Amino acid sequence: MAERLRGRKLRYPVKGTVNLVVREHPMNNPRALLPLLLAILLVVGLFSKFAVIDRLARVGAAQASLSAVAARLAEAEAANADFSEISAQFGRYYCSGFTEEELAAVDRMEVLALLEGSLMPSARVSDASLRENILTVNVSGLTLQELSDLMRRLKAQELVSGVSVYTAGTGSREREGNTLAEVTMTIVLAQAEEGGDAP
Amino acid sequence: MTVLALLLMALAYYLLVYQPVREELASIRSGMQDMESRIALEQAKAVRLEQMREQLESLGHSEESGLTPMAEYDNAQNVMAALASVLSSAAYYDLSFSPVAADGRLVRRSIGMTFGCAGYADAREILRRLAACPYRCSIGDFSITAEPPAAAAAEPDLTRDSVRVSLTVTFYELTQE
Repeated sequence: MAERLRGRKLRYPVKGTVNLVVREHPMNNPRALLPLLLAILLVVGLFSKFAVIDRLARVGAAQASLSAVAARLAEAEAANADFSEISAQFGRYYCSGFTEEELAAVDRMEVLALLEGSLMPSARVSDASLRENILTVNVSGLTLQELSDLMRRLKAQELVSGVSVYTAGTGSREREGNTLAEVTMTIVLAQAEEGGDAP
Repeated sequence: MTVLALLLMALAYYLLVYQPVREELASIRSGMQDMESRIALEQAKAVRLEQMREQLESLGHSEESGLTPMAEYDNAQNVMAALASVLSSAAYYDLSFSPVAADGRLVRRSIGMTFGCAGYADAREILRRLAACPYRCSIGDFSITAEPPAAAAAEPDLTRDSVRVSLTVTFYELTQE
């Protein structure tokens, strides 16, 4: 054998390239693919539901709420459309710039009515002066008893909050043996209701 | 490769869905807050409007309210004309005009006034006409004094003698806004 080989040229196998391509064998079994597909579908479905659809739905709901609020605002603005006009009209009657004294001032015609209704029929009034809400009157021609009655009647008036006598002196006149007094009295008038908007 | 694909998908989701939705929701929330505060403002205006309407309506129904609208500044000429009419029945009068005083939009025109009349009734009528003047005014402090004839020995009496009245009256005017 060795002699036989000795007479022939030895040839060794030679391979110049290497084939690295792997021959893939496709998985033809659908049963093996199904769980994977289901898992992927589940993940995609959950993601779509919670991360996309729900978020878009939240935007839709928020926009609907915004539209409802916008409608309410438009309705409120429409209801107040004539605010400027009414405000201007109101401002011609009422103003925030009046002082407390002006707002609390008693109606001067009511003061005259008090003078005419309560004082003039009972006594001779020589003068009356009103300063703020205090009426000072000089009266004469009445006895002290009549003066007392007059004060009582005055105090009963709604317009009057207090009556006081400053001076009371005897005059030169008499009536039925009683000396008639000359009196200076002050009548404090009840202030006009608070919270008024105009004098 | 798979990791890169997942990263790209996440980026796409963030840029196409998450971020726009978050911005949109923030914008809607901000718009809603703005509108709610405007609605609250409008509701307050509505309450005020109703109050003003009621007061204006009560002015229309109540003759005795005596409120007249305030004239626009400067109403001096009309005030003069009104005073001339009011004082036409006075035996004499003396007027002193103070400088007008402005307080915000409100302008006060104060006038010191003294006048004499034949009797208390005339003086009262002048005061009534002044209070009912077509231009808003208020009568301030006043005094009414009986003036008996110099020769008369009788004590002064408002119901019998001639009368002298001193008062201050303030006319109110409004400047333009």
